[in-house]
Amino acid sequence: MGLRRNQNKLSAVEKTRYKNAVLDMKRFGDYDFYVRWHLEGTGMDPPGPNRAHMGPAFFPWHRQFLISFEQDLQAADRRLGGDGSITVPYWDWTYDNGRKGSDQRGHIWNDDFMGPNGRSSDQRVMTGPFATGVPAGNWILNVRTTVDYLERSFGTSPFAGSLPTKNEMEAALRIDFYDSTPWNDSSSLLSFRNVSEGWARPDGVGEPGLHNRVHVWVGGSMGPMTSPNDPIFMLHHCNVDRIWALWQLTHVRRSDGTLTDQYPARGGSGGAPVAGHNFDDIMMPWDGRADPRPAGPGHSANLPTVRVRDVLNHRALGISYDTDP
Amino acid sequence: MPEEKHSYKGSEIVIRTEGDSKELFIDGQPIRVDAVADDAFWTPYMSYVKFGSLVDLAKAIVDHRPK
Repeated sequence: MGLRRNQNKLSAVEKTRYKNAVLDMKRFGDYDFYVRWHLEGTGMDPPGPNRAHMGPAFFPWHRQFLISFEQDLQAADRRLGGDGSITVPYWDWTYDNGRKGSDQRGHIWNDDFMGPNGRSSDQRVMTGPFATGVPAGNWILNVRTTVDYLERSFGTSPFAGSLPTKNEMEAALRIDFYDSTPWNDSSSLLSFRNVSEGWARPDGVGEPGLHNRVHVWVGGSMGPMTSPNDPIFMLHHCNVDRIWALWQLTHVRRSDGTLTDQYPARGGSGGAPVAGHNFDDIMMPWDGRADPRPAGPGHSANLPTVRVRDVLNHRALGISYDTDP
Repeated sequence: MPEEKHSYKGSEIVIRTEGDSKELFIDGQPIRVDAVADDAFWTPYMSYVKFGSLVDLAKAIVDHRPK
């Protein structure tokens, strides 16, 4: 793991190194498993309960997802001659919301990093490393999409004309409780998880909030459950994980300064969350099954078995953010 | 099975109801829809938004699918 930094702080060399490692993961055959695993986590394929969203495990599931992705990213960096020390950067979308003139489209969308918006006629991204059919990366979508190219459509959805604001994020960080009954998308404004995931909004606006709003604002490939098809997914969820870490560091310290697990959903009053969201539940696909990825460093015969309780303390996992106090 | 039909931007939206369950079809294709809290509907095809009605959900899919 290592220190995860704001993408705004990356040098040109660091951006190139990250971008090249992602492209190498795609070529090597790792990347698309993250799209498939997200589909599985959401209960779409194979059909089942949504174990990754609309419940307390939203944050833990995506933390494990990023940990696994980052390990493969570092292996890719080594394949390319690096020392494997790179980490996933985060995209603080509230910073871009504060921008003017450029209409919330910051440097992250330049051709030297995540690439631009899609064209208006069909949402197709035409330039940058993640365009399809161009030499820079030839990014092809393979997992359950109607088209094989990356689509984006910034801010055109009637559900999300703008990115979340800093005030929205700070309001979420002030919530005292990690989650609340009924442990789903209708949990109240007392639920940090539900407000941050974006199903409840303190300002009462009936549009998606925080995490959900960013998916909808980017649009295109970020809209359906195959959303990791867009590499911006990782930077977005790195920011979501950072926000959870910030909340934990503010709300759930022991008197000695270390973190408690602070995962309240253990099937207490109000009934247990659905399968996959309880403290001791195994998070699919990290259930010890055979590892389907190509053989390589860091890949063993089987995926690890990871439970919700295993990933609650980011510092214990070796992760830190440049915004940690 | 009761059937409700709508036409939207050249697409045919069909909602079939049997008891408490509903099935949605757009241009003959079945669309997975889950009933979620607050009497709302959710689909993995637009998975970060909830909809107050199946018709609204179907219209959004039509609006956002590739041309």
